[in-house]
Amino acid sequence: MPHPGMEIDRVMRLTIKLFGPQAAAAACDTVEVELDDDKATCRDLRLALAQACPAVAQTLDASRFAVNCELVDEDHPVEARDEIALIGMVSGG
Amino acid sequence: MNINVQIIDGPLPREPIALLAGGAGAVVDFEGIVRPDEGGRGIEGLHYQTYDPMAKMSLRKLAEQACERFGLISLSVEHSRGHVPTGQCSFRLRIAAAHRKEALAAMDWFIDVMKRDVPIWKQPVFTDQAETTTR
Repeated sequence: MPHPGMEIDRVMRLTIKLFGPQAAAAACDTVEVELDDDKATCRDLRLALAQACPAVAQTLDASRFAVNCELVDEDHPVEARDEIALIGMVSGG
Repeated sequence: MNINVQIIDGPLPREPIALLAGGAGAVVDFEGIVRPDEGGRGIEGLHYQTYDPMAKMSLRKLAEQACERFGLISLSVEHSRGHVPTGQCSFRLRIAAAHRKEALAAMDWFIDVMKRDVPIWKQPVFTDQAETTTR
C-alpha cells in the first residue's frame, strides 16, 4: 500500500499495428509505446509513436488511428486493452 | 437493401457474385484490373494487404452508407487480398438502383471513400524485382 500523499507513477504499454508502406519503413509491423494512463488520448499516442518510431514520424500527419477497428479522432481516449492500428496511406482498389 | 461484401485471397473469380436486383432499372459494374506497369516500370502484379477484420467491417459500413445515401437496391463489393498478377481483377463493385444517375453517382462516391478510409494497402511487385528474388 502506498503511503498517503505518495504519487503513483502509472504507465501503460500500448502496441500499435503498422501496415503497408509504414510497416516497410519501420521494418516491423508493431511498435510499443508507453503513456501515462491518466486520460491518454490519440494525440498523446501520436507524439509517443513519433519518438518511438522515427521511421514513420514524417507520415503521421497524413495518418489516423483506428481503435478497436474504428477510425477515431485525436481526442479519443486510449486504454491498455485497446487494439490500436495506424491507418496511413491506404490504397485499396 | 441487399449487400454483399467479400475479401478473397488472390485474384477475383471471373464471374461476379449474383446480385438481387429486383426492380432495378440500372445495374453498374466496375472492375479494377492490375495494370502491367507502374510509373513506366513493368510490374508482375500487386500485393494487397488488408487489416482484418476492420477492412471487411469498413467495406460493409460503406456499403450501407451508399445504399442509404443513394437509395440503392443492392450493392456487392469484392476485394482481393494477397498477390494478384497483372491483368487479373482485384476489385469489383456492382450496384443496382432504380435509375442510372444514382447508380453511377454511388459508384464514384464508394470508390473515393474506399480509397480514403478502408484499411487496404497495395504494393507493386516489379518485374525486375521478381526476377531478382527468384534467381
